[in-house]
Amino acid sequence: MDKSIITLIETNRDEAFKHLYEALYNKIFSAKRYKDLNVEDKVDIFHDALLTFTLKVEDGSISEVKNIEAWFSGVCKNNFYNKIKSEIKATKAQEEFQERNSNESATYYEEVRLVFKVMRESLDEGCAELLTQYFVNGLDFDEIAERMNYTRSYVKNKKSRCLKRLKSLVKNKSL
Amino acid sequence: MISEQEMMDYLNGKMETVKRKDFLNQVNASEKTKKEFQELKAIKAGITFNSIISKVESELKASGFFEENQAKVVRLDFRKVTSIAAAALILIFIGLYTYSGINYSNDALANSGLSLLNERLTENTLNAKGQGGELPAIEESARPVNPIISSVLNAFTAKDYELVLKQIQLGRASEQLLEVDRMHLDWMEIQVLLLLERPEEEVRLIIEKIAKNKQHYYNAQARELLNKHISLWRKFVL
Repeated sequence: MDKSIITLIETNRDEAFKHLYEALYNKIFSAKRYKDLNVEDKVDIFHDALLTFTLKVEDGSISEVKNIEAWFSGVCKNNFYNKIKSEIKATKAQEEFQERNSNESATYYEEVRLVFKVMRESLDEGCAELLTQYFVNGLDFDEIAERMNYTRSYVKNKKSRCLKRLKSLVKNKSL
Repeated sequence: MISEQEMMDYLNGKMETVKRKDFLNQVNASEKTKKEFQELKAIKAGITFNSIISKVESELKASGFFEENQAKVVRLDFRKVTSIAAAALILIFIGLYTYSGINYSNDALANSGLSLLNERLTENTLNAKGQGGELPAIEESARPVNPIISSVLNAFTAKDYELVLKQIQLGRASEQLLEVDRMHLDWMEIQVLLLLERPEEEVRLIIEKIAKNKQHYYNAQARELLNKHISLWRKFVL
C-alpha cells in the first residue's frame, strides 16, 4: 500500500478511511482465523486498527511503519486475539509504541479508543449528537441550540451531563 | 486556572498563535490541568474518529460493501480442493492421451496413404524419381515433361515439398496446362500433402474431389484410398 495514504489521513480523513476499508478489509478478513467472526466483530477489529493508525499519523510515529498493509494485518490479528481473550489490553502495535514512547502516549491511545467505544456502543443518540456538534464541528452553545432547536441553557446543561456520562462510561470500561 | 472553553479553543484551532505557547506552558505547569487537557483531547479525538468512521461505514453499508464481502469470503475445504485437483489431473491426462492419439493417427494415415499409393502406382509415384522415371501418361505421349511435374519428381526434403506444393497449386490454375497433367498434379498434391503431414480433412477433400470425377485418371485409386480410410477419418475428424 502506498504511503500517500498518510497524507490523505491528514488532509481528507473520510476518503482515507474509505480507501483503507476498500483496500484492506476484504484482504485481511479472508484469513481463515476470522471465519467464525460476524461482520460487527470484524468491523470492530478493523476500526481499532484504523484508530491506532490515525493516532500514529497524528503524533508522527507512523514513519516507523514500513509496510502499512502488513502493519494493519498484524494489528487486526492482535485485536482479534485480544477480543477472544476478552481482555482489555493494548494491541501489539500499541505495546510496541509503549516500549518506545512514554506511558503518557500509550494512555492517550487507550483513552481515545475507549471514548470511541463508548460513543459507538453505550452513549445515547442525543448525547452523541450534541457532543459531536461540540467537539467535532467546534460549534458553541448558541450555534448548537439553533441547530438542534433547544435553548442555550439547555444545551449547556445537557452538554455537561453528557460529558460527565461519557467520562463515567469510559472509566467503567477501563476498569 | 484554564477554562474548558480555552482548552476547546486551542483544540479547535481557534486560539491566536501568540497565545498558544503561553497556553501550553500553563497547561504543563499543573499536573491536574495537564491531565484535564489530555482527557479533553482524547475525548475530542475519540468523538471525531467515531463521527468520521460512522459516516464512512454508513456509506459502505449503503453500497453493499459488507454483504458483498460476506459472499466473497470462500472457505477452502481440503477434501473439496483435493478432489478438484484430482479431477483436473485426470482431465489433463485424458487430454494429453487423446492429443497424442490424434497425432499418431495423422502419422499412421499419412504412412498408410502413401503405402497404398505406392502399392498401386509403382511406376508413376514418387518412387520413380531419381530413376529417370516418368508418369505413364507422359511416357506414352512421348512429349516433354511439364516443369512442375519434373520439380515434384526431383523434390527430396520437406522444404522441397513445400515449394512443390505451391508450384502445384499455382501451376494447376494455368490455362495452358494439359488436362492429363492437371490430373497428375492433383494426385501429386495428395502425395505431397501426406508427406507434409497436413490435416486429414484438407487431404480428404482433394481425394473426394478426384473420387467423384469418374473421368479423372486417378479416380479408382482415389476411391480405394477413400474407402480404406473413411472410417478412420470419421473417428477423428467428423
